[in-house]
Amino acid sequence: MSAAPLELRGFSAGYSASEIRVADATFSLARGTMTALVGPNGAGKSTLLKGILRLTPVHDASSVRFFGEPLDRVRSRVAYLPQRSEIDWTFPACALDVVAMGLYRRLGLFRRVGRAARDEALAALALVGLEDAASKPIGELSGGQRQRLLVARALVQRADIVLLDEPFANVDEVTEQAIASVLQKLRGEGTTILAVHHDLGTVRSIFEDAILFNTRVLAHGPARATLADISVARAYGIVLEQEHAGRIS
Amino acid sequence: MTSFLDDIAGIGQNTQLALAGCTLFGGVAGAVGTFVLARRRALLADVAGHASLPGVCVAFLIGESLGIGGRTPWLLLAGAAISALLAAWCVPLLARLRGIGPDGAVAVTLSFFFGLGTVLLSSVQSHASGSQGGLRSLLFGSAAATNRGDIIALATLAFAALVVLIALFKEFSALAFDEQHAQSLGLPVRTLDLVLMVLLVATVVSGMQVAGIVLVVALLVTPAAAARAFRGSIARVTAIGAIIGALSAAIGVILSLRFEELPTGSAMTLAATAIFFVTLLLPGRMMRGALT
Repeated sequence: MSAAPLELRGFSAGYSASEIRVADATFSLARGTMTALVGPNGAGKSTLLKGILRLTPVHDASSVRFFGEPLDRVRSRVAYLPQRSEIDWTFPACALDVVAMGLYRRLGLFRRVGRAARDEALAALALVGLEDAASKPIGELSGGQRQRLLVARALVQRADIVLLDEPFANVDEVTEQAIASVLQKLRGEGTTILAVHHDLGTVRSIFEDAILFNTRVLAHGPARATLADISVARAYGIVLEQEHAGRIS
Repeated sequence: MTSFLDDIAGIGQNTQLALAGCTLFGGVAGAVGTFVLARRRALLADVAGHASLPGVCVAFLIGESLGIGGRTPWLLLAGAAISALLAAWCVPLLARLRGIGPDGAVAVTLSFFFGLGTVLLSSVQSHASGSQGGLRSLLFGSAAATNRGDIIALATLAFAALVVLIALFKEFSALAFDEQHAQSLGLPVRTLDLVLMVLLVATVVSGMQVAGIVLVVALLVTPAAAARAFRGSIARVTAIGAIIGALSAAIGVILSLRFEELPTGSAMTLAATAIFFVTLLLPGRMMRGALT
């Protein structure tokens, strides 16, 4: 049997020993599964994703394995989609430029983006319904279009596991549908997906599995059962009501 | 107007060389500036400019004491680059101290290096060749005070910076747009950031004699800012920045040759700013920005 696409054993992360945002996380994801990482604001969900990818300080890198290997040996099989709000959308680029960035590793140093790479990027744009926006400046795209653009950039990486930070945050319904169906298609092809998600209302309809997280892994299993668990209340505590209020506004 | 064109047509070979070298520098500065702006390094370019003064002066004094002449172009460039890099290295260190912050670190570093430079400059002026050779014109730049060796040195350095920029264009793009994604791809982001810093210093130093250490930052930032008014791919916007930079530098050189009292760097800066203001009139410019 092949190794799990992602396996964590006692993984901890944070900017310093006194500021641990992720404590002793242990879980593994199976091939071709789609898991929501759910928890209240400030639970450390983004830090968990960034820590797994070594984008933030971690305490013991060997506690993370992708396909049984350390990250550096399998980078081409791993794709990451950061939060849309962390990106400078005033950067002077067109949509096609951004999607092509997903190909930079495969192209290698000093190599230019050629015709084949452009065609591949255009095909990914078409998959998220942005085929007409290829030459549009990214600053002129709507929030939903920007999110789909980032998904297209992850798509061209043709990774075996995709980690997404809030791909459904503040998007219109068309975008939500488009992203959900693209991710489900990937899952069907055997790709493993882990996404930070904060909307409890849509977790069950989009994801099959869920990890309930608040600094620690509180529960992990089928979305329906996990979220019905009493531990939801434990994770969210009194924050739950405020979260709902915040989401509606 | 006729006499003005005659002036250009009638200029000597050395002046033509100066015009070509400065235009190349302006183009490279405009292109590098796109990434300097995107990485929020504009003030660091200003630090690098001002901080090159003590290095130039020390290099001059070393050249004089070794008997090879203070105005040896490569010696001056090396001195400038060393002190500019040293200052660029100081900024993040100071910024980490409690209660200073990035802007405080920039101000402290820039003023210290520039202050030190002006003290050293007075020492350089006491050497006859210091004033004769035009070190005094370093502050605001002078194309007229350069010689063939200066121009060849500046053009070589600017050309080398251009080659590096083209070679690493897509890596710099990924770094400037989304550092975390670039890092997740496995790109060496720290090394790339360092190379971009060296590129910034190389560009600043290559232009210091003609654009002046006080104003050289304008050639890196203003043309790139003007280019942001244009829509299109990263390559297109960068190329437009390069064209505006080259045009500003060429106009600056021509004007400063025509009006002898006009420092070249000031003329280049005014030309770049004039183009910048024209781009404000382009449709959509005033509404630009993140609307998320």
